[in-house]
Amino acid sequence: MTQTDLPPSRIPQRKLTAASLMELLGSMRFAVCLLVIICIASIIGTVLPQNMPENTYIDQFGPFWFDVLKKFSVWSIYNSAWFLVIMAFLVISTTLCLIRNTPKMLRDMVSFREHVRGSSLRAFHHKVELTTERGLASCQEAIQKWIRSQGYQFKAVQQNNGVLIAAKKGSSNRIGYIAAHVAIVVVCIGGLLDSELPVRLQVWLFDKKPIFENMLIADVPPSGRLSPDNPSFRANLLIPEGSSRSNAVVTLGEGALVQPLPFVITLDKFLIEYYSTGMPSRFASEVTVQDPETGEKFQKVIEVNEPLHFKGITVYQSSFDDGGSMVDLSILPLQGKVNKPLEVSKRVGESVEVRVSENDKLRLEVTGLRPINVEDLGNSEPQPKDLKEHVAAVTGSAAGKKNDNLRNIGPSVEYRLIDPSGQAVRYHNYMLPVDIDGARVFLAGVDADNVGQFRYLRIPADQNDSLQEFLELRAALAVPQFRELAASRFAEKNTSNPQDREALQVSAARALDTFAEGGLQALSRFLEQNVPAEELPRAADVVVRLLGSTMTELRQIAREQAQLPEIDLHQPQSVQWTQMAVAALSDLQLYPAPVLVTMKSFDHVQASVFQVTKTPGKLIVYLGCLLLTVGVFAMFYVRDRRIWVWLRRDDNEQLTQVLAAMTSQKRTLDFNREFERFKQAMHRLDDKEK
Amino acid sequence: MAQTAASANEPVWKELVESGDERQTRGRPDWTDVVFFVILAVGAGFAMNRYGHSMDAYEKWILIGTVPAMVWLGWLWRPLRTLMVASGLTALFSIWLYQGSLERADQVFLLKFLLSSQSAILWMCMLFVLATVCYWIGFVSKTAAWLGTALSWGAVYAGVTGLLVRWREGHLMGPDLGHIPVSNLYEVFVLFALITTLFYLYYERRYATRALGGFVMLVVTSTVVFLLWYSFTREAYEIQPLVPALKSWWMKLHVPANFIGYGTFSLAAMVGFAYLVKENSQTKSLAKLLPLFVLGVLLAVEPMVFRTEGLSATWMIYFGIGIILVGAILAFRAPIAKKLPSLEVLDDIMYRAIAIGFAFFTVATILGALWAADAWGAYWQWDPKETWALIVWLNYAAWLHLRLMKGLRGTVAAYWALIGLLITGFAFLGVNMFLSGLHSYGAL
Repeated sequence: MTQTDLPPSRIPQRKLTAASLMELLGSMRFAVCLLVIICIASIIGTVLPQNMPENTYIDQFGPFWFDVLKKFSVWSIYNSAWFLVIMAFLVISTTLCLIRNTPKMLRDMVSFREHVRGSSLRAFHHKVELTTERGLASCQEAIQKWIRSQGYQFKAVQQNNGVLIAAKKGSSNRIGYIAAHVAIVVVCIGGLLDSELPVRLQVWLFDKKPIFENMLIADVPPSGRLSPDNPSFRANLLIPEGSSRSNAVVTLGEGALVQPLPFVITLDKFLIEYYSTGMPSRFASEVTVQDPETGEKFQKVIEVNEPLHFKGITVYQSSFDDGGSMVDLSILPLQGKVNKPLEVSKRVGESVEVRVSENDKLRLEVTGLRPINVEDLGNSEPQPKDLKEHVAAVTGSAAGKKNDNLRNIGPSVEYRLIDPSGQAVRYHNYMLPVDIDGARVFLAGVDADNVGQFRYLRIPADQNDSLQEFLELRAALAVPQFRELAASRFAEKNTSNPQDREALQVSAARALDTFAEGGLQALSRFLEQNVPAEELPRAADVVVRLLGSTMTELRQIAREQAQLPEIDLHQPQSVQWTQMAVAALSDLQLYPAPVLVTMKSFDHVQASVFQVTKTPGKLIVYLGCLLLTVGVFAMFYVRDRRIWVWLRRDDNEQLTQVLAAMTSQKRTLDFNREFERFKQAMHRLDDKEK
Repeated sequence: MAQTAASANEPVWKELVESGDERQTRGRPDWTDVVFFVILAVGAGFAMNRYGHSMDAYEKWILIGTVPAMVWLGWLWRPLRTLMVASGLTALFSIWLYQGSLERADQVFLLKFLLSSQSAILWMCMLFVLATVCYWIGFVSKTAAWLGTALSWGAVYAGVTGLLVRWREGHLMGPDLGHIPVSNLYEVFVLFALITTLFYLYYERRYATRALGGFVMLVVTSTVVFLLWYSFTREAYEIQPLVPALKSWWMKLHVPANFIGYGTFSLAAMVGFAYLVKENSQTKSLAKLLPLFVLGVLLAVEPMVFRTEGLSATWMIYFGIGIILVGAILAFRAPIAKKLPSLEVLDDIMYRAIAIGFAFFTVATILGALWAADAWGAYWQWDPKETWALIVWLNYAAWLHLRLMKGLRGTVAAYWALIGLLITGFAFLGVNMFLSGLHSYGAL
């Protein structure tokens, strides 16, 4: 369109543009487009995990796409400016549509449309036309009676040479339309009040600065604190048992703001109850709430599905955490020639430097304490069954087979070891030994590849249910003299021939040395290199027995060194212990840490995590929901119908001409059927005369 | 297009019976309704008296509200009342057989093979599959079609009984373990099959046609296949105690309302499929049949898509049967179309099903929001399940808008309803599989 073509009509053109803009904004096309965009954005939001740390996204998309996607804030899509703008347009569009149509609809609802020209009824799809000898007044009476009996309201007007009866029913259907659309606007506005927007506005208007570093709440400057009168927020609150808090934390992107609360809340006790299956059945916090203004104090149990409502603020049980439990740890060396543990006491969340050798230091960070661990120690692999057993298995009651392998295996501690370059590995160790396959073993878990799953080292417990003997054995294995001694004692016991003895001692010493260096894997590599393939199975068998016997000697030496009481090492139980120790020592080669940290005792302090919210829009949203429900049901289940009957008297022929039409917003089969009934009723006018 | 088809088939709607059963119109409640009311009220009173201590105020109100609601449903549609009485009595009998001890499920013959919850649900599965087969044979034999209806009723009876008994079995497991059986994917799958079938049976009576049975029961059968696979390989049938977030009376309202939505949407989609089959009954053009075929196969494989690890032989067979079935339906489209009711009737069923589903889905979503406000501290937080519920809702809202405002009918509406089921299916199953979120108790 060129400018020169249209100079004279510039002013009307502009008006037209404004009007057509309104038209566009209020049109269904526009609304549908917005809804489609909202749908697509929502889908992206569900597929892409939201509100994760930025690093996750950089890893996922690379720096370039990260920057691009960040511009559209796709990881907090539902709070992004553009999403809110689209929502705002949706509200505007729906409002315009309502403003335009509501008066029309309301007028239409009240109106009987009695000014319809009688002759225009012929144009209707559902119409009846007949003539009867009955008089006009009699016809009118009969029709009105029928119409009333069917629940219609009606109005009769004189129209040039006859009477027009206009009737309607179910007009409140229109209220349904209006209510449903008002509901959309109301819900959106209410939702907006409860979104992040009010907090963001305060940051912008009152120059609040979110805090990004770790800081004590008392040290937070006023710019990092929201007003106690903040009308809308969603904050988190962690309280350790026995502590009191009166400030919650609002997170905003990567930062946080402090939200002062109008009351002090003290966590007296946090409870977890369990089902017999070991699954938690109830999380509950016993709290005391104090109102500083009045000094009023009351107790309350907050649990999932049962929040606390006080002073316009709602406190929900959201999760739980460690509240700074004290753990007493032994740091046991897994390298070097001596077995000298180091004792430390730390709180969960704290860390400590550990010197593991002359030059190496590691940072030990205690990350968690679990006092109860219910684990399935059974064989979890399902056994293959034939079809009949399959069917038999799923019949009967749905109670499920009792799992006898479910056991509480006691407390455990989780920690991380961080090397000087910042690489961290997570560990998970149980405090007490566990019965597995008839032996008592300590489970030491490590997530070596950072995959979020622990693999467990099984270390056999000694007669005192401790790790001591294993650690002595490990230390002895690291000492060359002891290995030598073990090899010679073994040779001495097994042969009397001095020549053979020498050869046997050499092989035993070599096997032990190789094992000490690289575990069973090193032994098998050694065999593969030195023994022809066909003799490998036999040779492996010999070496394993050789190693077992030599290790028994070494164990004896270790026991002597540690001044442990003498026992018979050839008892089946001891033999099993030695075998397991050999396996564990071999696995130690793959263990990524030079120390093993065990827990000796602990003092459990829990913390409850609450969500604290003030949601002024909640009632508005609920009102919107009510409107929506009413609207939807009215729309679908209040059926609107209109009937017009035009009666004319033809005095010449002594006939009354009847022309009737019926219409509805929704032409369903029901309507057809109702029309059929109406038609029959109309024809009955004639019947009665005859 | 629908209009012209309608005029050719004008008398169809004359046969309609408003109440969907023997009564011509519903009329006033009669003495049987009063008796039914009294029985239910006495039952509720007994439950209140005996178990009132373990219900909170809301649960008591739900119990009280259930009585008039069930009487009203029974008045609305008489066969439902018969079903409620029959299943209720059978469940009571089964509970009596248990005599408070779960071990009796393996000792008492009737419990072991018929009346324990799992046996009843397995019977339901078998009857559903048989019903589907009968409905398809019904295209050539009236007796088979009648048998399809009878078997469907039998399946519903077995399923409702199974769920009721299951409820009791939960309580027999431990004093605090029992809960209404709508808490995990297994239980809601049974519920879904029952609701879909009941709605179908209602329309079958109301529109006096059994030709749609084969179509609708395909969805139910595929649910059954999924259910069986789920029980056999995952032992999903075992009653699990509720996680704390689910321990709420809201569940009793939110879940059933939701499944009325899912059930009717599926029904509408299958009617839409029938509509398209009928509409294309004379066409020879591959271009018109191909999209229908592809959509049909997609729907058939939808439960399979949600498996995470590799596909087993069972699922490949299922996939093959799905393709063959859809292919066969399209190949025999001409004779099938002849038996199907008129396009106008199909269109009407589709509209009614979506309308009722939409209304209940709206209510369910609102109830979910109210519950979420209590449990999670936010009535809406864009959790994947919530978001997908919104997408489903918007999808059907748009469908209804275009239908009511612009008079959308016929082919487009039918295709849309069919695609709607894909979206609904994803919201129902896919979200639980692929997207983590707060609704994770439904995870596979």
